[in-house]
Amino acid sequence: MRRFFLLTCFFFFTLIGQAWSFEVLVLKSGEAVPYAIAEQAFSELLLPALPRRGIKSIAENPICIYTMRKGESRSSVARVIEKQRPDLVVAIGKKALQSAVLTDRPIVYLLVPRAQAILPVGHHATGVSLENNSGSEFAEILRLLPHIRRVGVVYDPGRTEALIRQTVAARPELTFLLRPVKSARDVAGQLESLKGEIDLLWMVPDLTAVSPQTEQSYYSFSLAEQVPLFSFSAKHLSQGATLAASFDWKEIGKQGVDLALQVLSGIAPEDIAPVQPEKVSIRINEKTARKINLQFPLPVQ
Amino acid sequence: MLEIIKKLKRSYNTRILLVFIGGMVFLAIGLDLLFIHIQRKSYTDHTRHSGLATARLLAQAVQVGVFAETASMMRPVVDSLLLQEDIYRVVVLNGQEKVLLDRQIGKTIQEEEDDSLLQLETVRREGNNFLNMKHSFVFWWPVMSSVAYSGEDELYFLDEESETQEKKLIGWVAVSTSKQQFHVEIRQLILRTGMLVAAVLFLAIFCTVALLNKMMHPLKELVAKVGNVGESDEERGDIGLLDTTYSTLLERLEQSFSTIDELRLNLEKKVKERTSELAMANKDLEWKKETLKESNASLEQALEETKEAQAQLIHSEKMAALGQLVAGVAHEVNNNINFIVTAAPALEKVLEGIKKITDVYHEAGIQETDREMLAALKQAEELREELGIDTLYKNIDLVLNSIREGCSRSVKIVSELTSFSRQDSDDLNEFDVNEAIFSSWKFVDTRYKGKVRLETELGKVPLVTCAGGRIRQVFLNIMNNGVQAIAEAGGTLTVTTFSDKEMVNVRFGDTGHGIAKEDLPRIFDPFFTKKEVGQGTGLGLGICYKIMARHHGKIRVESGKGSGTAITISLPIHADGGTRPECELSLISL
Repeated sequence: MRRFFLLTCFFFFTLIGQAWSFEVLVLKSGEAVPYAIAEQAFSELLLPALPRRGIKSIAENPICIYTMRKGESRSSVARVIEKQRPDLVVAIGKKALQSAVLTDRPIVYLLVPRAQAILPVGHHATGVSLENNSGSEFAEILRLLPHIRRVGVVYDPGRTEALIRQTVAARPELTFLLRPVKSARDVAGQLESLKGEIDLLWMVPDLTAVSPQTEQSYYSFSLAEQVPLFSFSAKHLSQGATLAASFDWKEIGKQGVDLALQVLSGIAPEDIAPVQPEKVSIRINEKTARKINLQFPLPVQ
Repeated sequence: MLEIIKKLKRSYNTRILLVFIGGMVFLAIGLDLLFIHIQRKSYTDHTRHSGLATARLLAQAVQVGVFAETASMMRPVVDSLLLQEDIYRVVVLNGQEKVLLDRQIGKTIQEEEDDSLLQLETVRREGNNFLNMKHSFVFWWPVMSSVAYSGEDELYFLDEESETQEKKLIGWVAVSTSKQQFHVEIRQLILRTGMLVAAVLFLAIFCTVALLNKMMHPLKELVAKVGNVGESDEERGDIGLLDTTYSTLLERLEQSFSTIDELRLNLEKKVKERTSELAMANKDLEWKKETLKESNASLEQALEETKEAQAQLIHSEKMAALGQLVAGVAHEVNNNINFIVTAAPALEKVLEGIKKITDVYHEAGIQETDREMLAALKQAEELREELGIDTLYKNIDLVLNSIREGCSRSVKIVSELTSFSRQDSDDLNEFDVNEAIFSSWKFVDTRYKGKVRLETELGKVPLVTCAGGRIRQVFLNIMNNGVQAIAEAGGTLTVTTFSDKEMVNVRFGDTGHGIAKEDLPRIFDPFFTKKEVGQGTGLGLGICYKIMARHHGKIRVESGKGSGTAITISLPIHADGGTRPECELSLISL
């Protein structure tokens, strides 16, 4: 009799565990194309991985997508999250993460630069950040352009000191000429000081050093000095950069699914270490390369 | 000489010629002045446009230099501009109107009077970037720069909504051009125009004199011949010919008058015939009108009967929808009661074990001797171990949690059902459209929901004054239609909200099989349905139309076979629909 009772309890609670269907809210910061690609990859891969059997809940649709509009306040988005009470919030982009952390829901974030600086103490979040501080992109650049030895970089020590230090330490074969700035007005002057001194100009994701006012100075420098400009974002390629690091947005969505499944299986998000994008490639603007007489000894794909 | 003048005065030909020449000279002078004025204005406009274009290009070229406030970055551009002949001074200021660069060549005393730096206040006040000074033109243009990125996201991504970047003022440029060249050009223009007009006038007078002489020649000959009648047989023959011609003309004129008279008589006869025909037709029309009145009365009676039948059917549809809703709610509540029903026997079993242990302890307490009491306590301990008291306590917690979960889910269902139905009346209330979409979605037909992905793009919309319960019914009907259309192959239902000054709009777009072009005009007709028998009555969209008509709203349907369907509902923000039509319906076949 006791065995029968325990067996009944076992099957009862086992079936209850399988019966939960999860509600996932995907929160996008805006309409940018990378957000859409990452969201689509995430949704397509997560849906088949979620449980489908058992007692139906009232709101059984598992994934709901919410796109933030320009100027929409974080508190109003947080109210939407609180009202829906999803099992998991997937925040794509910085604004989405800033809104999601105002609630107590578990979070998986994607495409957020410097995410650790946003997260409050006692947060319930993990995710895929947008930094790549391993200096791995320079390995590919050196393969394409082996003559490069001196790299110039303009940066604000208050913002990107850690990134610069980690990259310098990771690439001892390169000489980095560091030009610190305190405001965007200093950028043009510091670029002047790099004339004739460098083989490659590196544009870093620094809100002080890179702005709509200063970007033109980088392009002009590259063209006048016949020095390739290497940017952190592929969006600068069409404007005058020669090389750019390019992330695989679909792959980031896939990494997000792995983290989401861990969180939904019951592991606390804060116990899961955040990860960096696994696939970073280098893209080349061939027109700009021709204009600055840049030769590639090895064939380029 | 005096005789010649007298002779010319008597000459009709000469007088005409003099008046004509005088008019032409007067007209030529007037046109010349007008032409010079237009040319001068056109040249000034051209100078203004080209000068402003130069200033605008300069503002763009020195943008980086102005931002960095580095004169050396701007000097090459400014120096190349000063190579242009008429530009003598270029000034660049920063946002605080401090001079960053001031370059000039060939400065004169007169041009010094037009100190461009003193004019910036005028430019700002009047908003006119073109200053027409005494000795020079000054062209001002603001140096604008894009505003810094608002966040690190923008460093990486270009948001489609913020592609047009905001600009802010970071400085000014002023380009001064001398008027010397302008005055030379204007003088040359006047000279060239005057010479051209004089040449044309001379040619015109010459041609006029020649033409007039040629035209007057036959008349002169005729006058001379008439003056000499009877003097020559040949000339008499010409007069005879003229007389014959006049006689023929008179005969033809008489014939024409007689023809016109005949036609008039025929016309009067035809008018009489037509009038009698019209009188007959009018009588016939009166008789048809009477018949039509009788038919109309019969039709009105039939319409009243149809309306009564329709009201009964709408009531039946409401009851059917209520039954469907109750079935869904009962299904959900039943699921939750299962938690409790399944847990109750287990709880009973556990409590039975605890009761047994408690009874044995009670027996031990009432024993008379210590030995008997210790024996009874030992028996109780054995029973505790046998039943596993710790496991029983854990099982109680698990079973209670299960019951609590079932109860909380039931409370949630009841709460949401109350929220859904509490405004189910015709009273007007403040209504949150975005909230109603989520609450309505929860009551969408559960048979199809699992195959549908809901996407929401909810804008910031104001509260609407309306009968909330009715509008929820509209949302639910449209969502149910959408998920049924998608359910076969699976797909997405996208709900978007946005607003303008008067209306709040809700767009339901599905990726279903769509509506055929020939069916589209009939979807709001009562009892029109393409669903299988028993799946739908065909009254859902008709009810939606009636509710929207009561709110003076709009319905827009865009659909095509295989292209999905998008239904946009527009609700007036304020319920004063007096000036609006009852319901504006747009049907667009894709």
